[in-house]
Amino acid sequence: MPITVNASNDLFSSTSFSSRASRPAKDEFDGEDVAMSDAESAEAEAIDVDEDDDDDDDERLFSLDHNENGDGDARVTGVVKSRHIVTPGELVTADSMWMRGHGTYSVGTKSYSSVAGTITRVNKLLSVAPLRGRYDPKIGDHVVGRIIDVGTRSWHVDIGAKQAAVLMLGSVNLPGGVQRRKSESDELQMRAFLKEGDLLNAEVQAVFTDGAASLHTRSLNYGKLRNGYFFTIPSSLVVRSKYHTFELPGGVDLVLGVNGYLWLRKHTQPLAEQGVSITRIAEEAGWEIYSDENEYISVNLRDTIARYANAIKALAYCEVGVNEARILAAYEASKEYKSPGEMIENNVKKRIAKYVLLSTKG
Amino acid sequence: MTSRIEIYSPEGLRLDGRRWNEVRHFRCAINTHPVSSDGSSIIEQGNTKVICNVIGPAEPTLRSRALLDRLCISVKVIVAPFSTIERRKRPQNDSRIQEMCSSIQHVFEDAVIAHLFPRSQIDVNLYIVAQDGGVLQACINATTLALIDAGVPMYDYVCACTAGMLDREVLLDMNRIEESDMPFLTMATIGATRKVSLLQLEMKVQFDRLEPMMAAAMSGCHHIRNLMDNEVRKHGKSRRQMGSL
Amino acid sequence: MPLSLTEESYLNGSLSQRPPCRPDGRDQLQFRPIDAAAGILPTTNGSARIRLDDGGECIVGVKAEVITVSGSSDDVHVEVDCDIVGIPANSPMQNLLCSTLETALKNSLPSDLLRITNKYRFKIFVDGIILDHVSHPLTLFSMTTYLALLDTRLPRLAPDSLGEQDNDKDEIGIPQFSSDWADSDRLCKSWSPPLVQHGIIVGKNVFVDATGEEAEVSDGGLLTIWHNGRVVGLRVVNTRDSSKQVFSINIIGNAVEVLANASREIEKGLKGIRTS
Repeated sequence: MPITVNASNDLFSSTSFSSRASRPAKDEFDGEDVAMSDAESAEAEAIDVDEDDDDDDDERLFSLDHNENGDGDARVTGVVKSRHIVTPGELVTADSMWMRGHGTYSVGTKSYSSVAGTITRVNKLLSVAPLRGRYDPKIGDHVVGRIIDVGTRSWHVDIGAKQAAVLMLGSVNLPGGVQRRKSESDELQMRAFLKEGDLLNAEVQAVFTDGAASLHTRSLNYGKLRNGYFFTIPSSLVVRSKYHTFELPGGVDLVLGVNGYLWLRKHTQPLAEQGVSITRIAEEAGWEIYSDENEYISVNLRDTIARYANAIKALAYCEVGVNEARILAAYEASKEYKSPGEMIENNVKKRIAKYVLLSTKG
Repeated sequence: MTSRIEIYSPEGLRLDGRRWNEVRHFRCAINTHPVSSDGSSIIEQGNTKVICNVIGPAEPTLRSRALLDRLCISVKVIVAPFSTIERRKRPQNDSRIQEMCSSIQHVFEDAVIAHLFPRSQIDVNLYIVAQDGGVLQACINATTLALIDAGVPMYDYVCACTAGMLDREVLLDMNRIEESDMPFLTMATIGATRKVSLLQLEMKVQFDRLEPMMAAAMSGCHHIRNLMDNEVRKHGKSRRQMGSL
Repeated sequence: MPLSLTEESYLNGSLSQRPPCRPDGRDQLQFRPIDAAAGILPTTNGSARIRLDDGGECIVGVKAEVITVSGSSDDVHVEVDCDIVGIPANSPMQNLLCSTLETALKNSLPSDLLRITNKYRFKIFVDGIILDHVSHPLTLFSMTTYLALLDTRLPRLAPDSLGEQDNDKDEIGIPQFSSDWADSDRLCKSWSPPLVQHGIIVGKNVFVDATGEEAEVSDGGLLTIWHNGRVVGLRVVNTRDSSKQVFSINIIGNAVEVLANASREIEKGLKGIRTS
């Protein structure tokens, strides 16, 4: 059937205009006056009530600590994910022993949450991880990006983060090997290497203080991407692991960017394994690494790529974290469907995700 | 002009059966547009319906507009021609709409911890699809929820409510008919505190009647803050259960 | 939509194959699932909202106003307007959407459906907001308008008012309508709205419901206007700044057939949505 029309099922689909009203509670009026002002006009009872709540909060945080280290030392070692959801403006702790990390702000000795999320504690650092947010680059992340701007000695790359990433001319492999001196003509020829719209995979080399990433492609595993298909999934669903390039059955390679940008391509032998000795790799990097030409890709392979893409999108739709094992399981599940086009239906996506969760448990 | 008796009966009942201090039916949802935006929300206050989409923090679209030391917020309000009882198409540069955008922008420039994102921009798009009074308050509440959904750090919720004065009676959270019949103000507070982030009054009112209106509006703001907070927590719990954290 | 040269080459290669291979494996006639709801805005005579899984979303509200006409004119008074977020007003895209739909409606709506008395008519305003679109918004806008019109109800004259006869005496005054919403007529009781479809052409292949990237690598696009089981209008549009817009008659003929089939299926799907 060419079209599935689902009836919407959200707040917008029903019109409820009942006159059910709600009333602010009387003590609402004497509101809590904690956060910002000089605390001069709040009612006396209100303040007492609030302080009791604050102590409860602190006690809760502390009690977990004490359970872990029986000797009564309040320090926590290792990551402990508290299950407590906090919202902006909520008091997180009033104890000055904690270092305040992301997602919090302090007023005096008190720390408040600035986002809606869960409290995380690592050693003495207390932060709040937001429920949702754009990709935050970390050093060592393997990402896929798209060139948005060509500068004089660097490129700006979109990696789906809060800021565009920077790729310096000195951070890429230039044809002719590393021994080659960089010349002025390289700067003028920037577009010959990478131009607007080009896709590449790279590693995050550094993160500036404002959060912008600096990338490098100084390995033959990184560089311009060809012979394949690009799509995205939410970055929070990408499970961080040691490797992010996978060889999948069917002759397909996947580059699973930590930033949620993905590239599926025809399998190619990594240059490092093409019988070239290690010492000569850099010198052998010729202009091919910046080529815009695809190899021949058969219809079967295109079909396989579509199948993998739909399988991964099915996992993303059901908000299942994506890693190699789950992708393989999803591909297995997809074999039940003769055409990958059947996998775009929402009920099929759910079935695939269910199968994946069952078969990759443990 | 509606007769005063109808707006507020001697028994203390309003047109829709509410008492003076009851806010209208409040429904909200967060993360309603996960694909097309970084944060989103839909708010229904009585018959007023507003959708909010937030994109960012992100690279600014115009380098010239970027602020060197802080985040820049850009607000756009789109009023649907079918949102009122009488169909009316408003041009983009309508002065009332521009004023609303400007008010909302100022409110959130202070509410967001802006120095964390220098040279970045947040685009807030508000769509008013049904109007029945309290449009500015609904826009502010919707923007708060959408910014929270986007994970933008804020000092606290910004919650807004209206209050009007009918002779000497204060009425909370007015609908369209009530708004056209008496002076009313829109107030926005920072969370459940007494800090006022926005106060807008458009008709003349006697000075000594201002304070009861403000007190009622503040109480209404705090109540709405709790309603929004409940929804955010409910949403947070359900996401946590899905294991996506 | 930015694409690299290698991406374009891959996509174009996949779409030009005979038979073609779309990046998500769909076949040429297959639509992605849509989320639809009608009757969502009580301030309107009819409303609908459709969401696509790539984030595209459109809300349409239909309102009817009473206007006076001179003589016994047979004109159909319809005005279509739409606000596409991100695209400025009066741009070519917006004009395309509004004018195509307005012409299609004017040509297909029977004027007697809007007639109240000799002197008074309904004027139908179709207003849409396209909150987001990745692919060409015309199909989305048309489907939402279709559903909103299916949902539209026009009030009936109050029983003690002018009555049903032709009264064109000036002293009768303004028509009074029944305030009971249940006492209203469906606009589409005896009529189905037209449906505009956009398809893309790549090489010799035609595709419906093109994604943004598919449209980016296509040779051009085709619009069909479908009404009462037939294609009643046709237009070639460009999907990118390419001068390669000349298509053979065979390709266009094939495209029309493909789009007609798609329109038929969409109509069936939309008619199944519950309206108010």
